[in-house]
Amino acid sequence: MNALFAVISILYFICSGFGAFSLITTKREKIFSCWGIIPIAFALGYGLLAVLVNIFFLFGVKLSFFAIYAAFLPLFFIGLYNIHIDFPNFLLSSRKIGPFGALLVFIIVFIAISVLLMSIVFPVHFWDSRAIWALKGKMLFHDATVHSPNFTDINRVHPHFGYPLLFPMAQASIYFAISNIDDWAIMPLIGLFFPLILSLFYDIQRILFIDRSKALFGTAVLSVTPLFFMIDGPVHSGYADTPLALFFLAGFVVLLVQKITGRLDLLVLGSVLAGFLPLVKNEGISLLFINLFLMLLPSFDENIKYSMADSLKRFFIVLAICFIIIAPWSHIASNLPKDDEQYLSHFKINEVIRNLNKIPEISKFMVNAFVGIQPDIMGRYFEWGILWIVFVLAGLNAYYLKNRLGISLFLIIILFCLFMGFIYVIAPGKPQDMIANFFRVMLPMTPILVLLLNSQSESIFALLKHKKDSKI
Amino acid sequence: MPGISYGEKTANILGGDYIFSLNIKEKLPINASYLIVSKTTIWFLNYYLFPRKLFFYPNISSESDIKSIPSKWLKDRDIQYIIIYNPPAVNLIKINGASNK
Repeated sequence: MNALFAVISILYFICSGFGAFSLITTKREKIFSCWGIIPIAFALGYGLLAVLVNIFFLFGVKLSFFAIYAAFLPLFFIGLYNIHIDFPNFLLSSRKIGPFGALLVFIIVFIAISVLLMSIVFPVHFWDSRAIWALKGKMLFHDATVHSPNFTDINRVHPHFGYPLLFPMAQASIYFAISNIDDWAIMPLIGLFFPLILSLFYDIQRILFIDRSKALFGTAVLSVTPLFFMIDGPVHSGYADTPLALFFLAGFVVLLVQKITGRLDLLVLGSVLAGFLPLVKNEGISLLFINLFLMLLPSFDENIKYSMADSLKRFFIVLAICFIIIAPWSHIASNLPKDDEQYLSHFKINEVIRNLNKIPEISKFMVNAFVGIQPDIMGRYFEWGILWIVFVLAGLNAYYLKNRLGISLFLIIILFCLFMGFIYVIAPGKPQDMIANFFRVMLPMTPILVLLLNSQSESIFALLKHKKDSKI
Repeated sequence: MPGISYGEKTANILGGDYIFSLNIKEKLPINASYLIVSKTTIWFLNYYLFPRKLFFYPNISSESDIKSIPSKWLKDRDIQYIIIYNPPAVNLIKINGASNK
């Protein structure tokens, strides 16, 4: 019975998220299909839950089933009404996809179902899942507030007091629905994140490339990337990296589409989704910067020119909305005990200069990790297969063809890698210790990597075919 | 396997520490406060023993170190038990009133 209530709870937040989506997106021309809207609605639902709960904490309101679920009732009914009249179909075209397309669909569906089953069949057993995220979920349900000794007494057996609470709150919402702590009831939620990433990733490629087969190909490649299953916190584990990847992808694709269409409602939607990122994990701040950087990039269409004023206007709108979303949690977190992961507190000129000698070791590690010869913390190699090797080809190809989308994605990935490298430089401790989490940190950027590769895939294949034909 | 409970499945997968947690859980009152003394990582204990209140004291990792903990610190947190956890050895000490042991 707990499983049934857990599923109903998840559907409730997805529907509420769709209600928020309907309110924010004013125009009725359909860009996203169901494959994109369901993940976006999921992210909106749980993101708004985190914002609401932070506001409750600020005003000393105790969490309860009624407080949480009643607050979402208006959005839920709006979502229900709009599902009835306006929900886009799955765009299941009558056009056949051929045997290769059918194979790709099989791969994607097989992986998605496998991840869901692996979550449901096994109990929470990965380290951080138990010690951090699910534990915080239990605390939120039991204490109904963050202002309790569980969250504030530094002598409690509780790692990382200041970690954000979106993911634990999503789990706690299920506990509130079943009025009990059930370690298994949260597993369907944990298992959903990766299938939703695949679904959204398919839809953004369908929008960008128009070609359904190409979208299926890219999604299949993403679904079988070893990283998602081989790292110490795989996608079915209950670590917060996969939720962070979904939230990042949701905001990123909406802002990407906004740059193409120029729609203000999508700018607001993308900003809201981007604002949720620091509420999922502290690393979300770096991904938020990536979204801000996206706003400053030129148009993907060389026939459309953005003025600097336009770009700055978009940038500041995103920044302002994100600030409003993050502000309550920032205030709450400032009153929680600090742990040793305050990396930006080490951003002092003399510390940066003193740590510059770490750069060669960090750079070597990152390059070796990308090409697959650096083992991760589990001793595994080739987490990304050949994707990073093709990344270089894709970047060169995009530059050669002056493909603005490709160049933008390439720059975004390079910027993120540089930013992560900088964090490792200024962080205390040896580079080798810090880099234990590198593979997980790069998880949210992996869909962007595959998006870049797929955007250039046709011209790369054509180039290789031309070279092969010219040798014959 | 058909009919296997969640607890049994978890024990099969996690083994040692989880089984230990299950075993001592039965003996530990749910509303009490506990000081954990251990040389190993203990974060998972809170997950399985929750909502019991688990505390640790910095740089205390063995029974001989316990004497250095101020009585006021123990009293302020109403510590009623000390769990000395160094697998495979586990020791449970009940604190009586204001005295340490």
